[in-house]
Amino acid sequence: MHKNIIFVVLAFILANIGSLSAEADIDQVIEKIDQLYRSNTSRGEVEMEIITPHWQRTLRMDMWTYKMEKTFIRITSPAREEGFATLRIDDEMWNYLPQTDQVMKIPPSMMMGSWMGSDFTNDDIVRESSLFEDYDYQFTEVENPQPENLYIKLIPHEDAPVVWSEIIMAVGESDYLPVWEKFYGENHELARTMYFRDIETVGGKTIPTEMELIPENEEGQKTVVRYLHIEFNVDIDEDIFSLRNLQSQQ
Amino acid sequence: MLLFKIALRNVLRQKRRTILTMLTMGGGFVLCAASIGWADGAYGDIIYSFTSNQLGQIQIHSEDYLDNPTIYKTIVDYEKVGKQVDSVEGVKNWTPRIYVGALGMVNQEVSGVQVVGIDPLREDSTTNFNNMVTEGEPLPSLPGYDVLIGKGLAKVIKAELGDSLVLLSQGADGSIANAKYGIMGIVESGEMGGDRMNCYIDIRSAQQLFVLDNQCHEIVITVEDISSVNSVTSSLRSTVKSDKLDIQPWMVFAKSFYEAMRADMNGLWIQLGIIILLVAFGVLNTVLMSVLERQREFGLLKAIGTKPGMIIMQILLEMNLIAIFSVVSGSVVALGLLYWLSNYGISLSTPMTFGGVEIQQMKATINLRSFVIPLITVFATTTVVSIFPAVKAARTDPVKTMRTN
Repeated sequence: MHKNIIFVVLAFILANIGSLSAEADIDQVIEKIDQLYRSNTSRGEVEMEIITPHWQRTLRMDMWTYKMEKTFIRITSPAREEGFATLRIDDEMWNYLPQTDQVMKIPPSMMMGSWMGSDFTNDDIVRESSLFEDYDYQFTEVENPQPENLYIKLIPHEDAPVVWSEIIMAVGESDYLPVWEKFYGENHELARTMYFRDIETVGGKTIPTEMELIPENEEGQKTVVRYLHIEFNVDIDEDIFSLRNLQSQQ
Repeated sequence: MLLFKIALRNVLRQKRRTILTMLTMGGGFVLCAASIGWADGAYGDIIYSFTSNQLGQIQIHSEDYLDNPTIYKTIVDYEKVGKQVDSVEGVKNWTPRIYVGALGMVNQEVSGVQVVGIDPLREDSTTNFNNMVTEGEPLPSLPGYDVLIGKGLAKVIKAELGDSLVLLSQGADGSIANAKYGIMGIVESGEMGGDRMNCYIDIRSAQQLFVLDNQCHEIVITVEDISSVNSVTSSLRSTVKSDKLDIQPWMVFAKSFYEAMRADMNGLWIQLGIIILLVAFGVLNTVLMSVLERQREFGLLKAIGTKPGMIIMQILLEMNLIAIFSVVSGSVVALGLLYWLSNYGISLSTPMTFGGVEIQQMKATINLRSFVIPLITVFATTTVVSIFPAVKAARTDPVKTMRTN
């Protein structure tokens, strides 16, 4: 009789420990991914390759970030775009147009428009949503799962500043690094897929240094972003994130 | 011939009834003829002003452009296509256009705009474009950094003459398209949607900005005679031989307008149907009266051996004789009425708008179908309506009718 009770209690505790550890796991994964490209500050050089059925081009740019709030990007090549810059502070965004020496604030209605003709939207550049804070998440199953991956389904909170209805993410089981992310639109149809590649240790962090974004409904179109160089937690003059700096052609 | 004589005599015997029936039929005929002529005239005018304003009567695009317009679907080497267009008989003028979406900014006010690249000289001679420039000046004939903007757009971005408009978009090669233009005029085309989005620059500036050398998205064609649109379209299709181009008349590219027009036209047919129905009842009344009145006569005719078929023929003939009189006299009246309406028309005290086109005066047109359609209808209804009483008359039992009367 006693034995039985002890057995039941033990089983109960074990079961709870099991589920507790699983929850801890997924929290850890999400937090790790959330922090992946984020830090107090960062400074880097990025290459963006845009491929469409009509043209193909490669942009190079310098990029600065400050916490989650501020981003500054300046294009360094090709020549026709050199000097084009984007400043983002919280959810506001400005472009500097060197040809006409003008600063243009991007209206909210244009946030889903393409950034520099890439498959990234202005909103992607501005987005400051956090997986940890803005989503409910749980492990999920996918078709043809890879044994080395974990799969997580993320559903945004109702008030989260997110346009997706759901994200499915594949994460390496050993390193918790993202492998791919599938974004689903309003009607739960796949809208785009982002692949993460070339895991390297740069600036003291181990991150995938290449991301490939493939939109679902545009055949033959994709955008690849590569970190050529990145430093984290460096000293950055906060003046970089100012309209004055935006307008000054370095 | 004997039958004809009898019928004629019967018709003339009851003059008052014949005249009353003629009035019903003739009145119906005149109303139908006038409505059709009137509608054809008014629709012709509406179509003409609707299409001449901006759309033209025929448009050329790269294949599939209308369904899914993008900057890449262009007409390459459009000057050459234009020369072929010029060689087609019935073509009045043509003008090329470029359409690209962009962000437009005036004094920090930003809005999505549609950049329309136009050839200032051709555009004006094709669509009287310069008449739509209600403030400031039209575009000069040489390309430069000048822009005209729609009145609604000017309001949205709070622009005034002399302000600078900065455009940001993307060229066909993916590069950033960015330039600054001086606003030199305001365009009021009367088409609300277009006026809220459009800004017009010289097509050569647009080609440079969007990296579209020697290309355009649309060729707008006007024709000499609006009713020849379909035949000009088919000769254009055989002259401009390219399976990469779609050549379409306004019925296709202004589909919603065409359909609204057709729905309106269907309303007219329903009206005409009601008129015909009234005429039919009048005729039915007359025939029934004359048949019932002459029961004894038909009884006698049958008693002396007239075949039922002859009686039916006789009654049908009588009614159709009245119909002939009515149509002949109705035609004279309708012709006079339509002639007057086509020359003087009727001015509307408050202008009517249809599909964004303002109509000040409605004029009729005189065409064959205004007469042929009511003519066929009048004879057909008369015959159909007369058959039942005629059969009734033919079935008269001679013994019964002659005894009671």
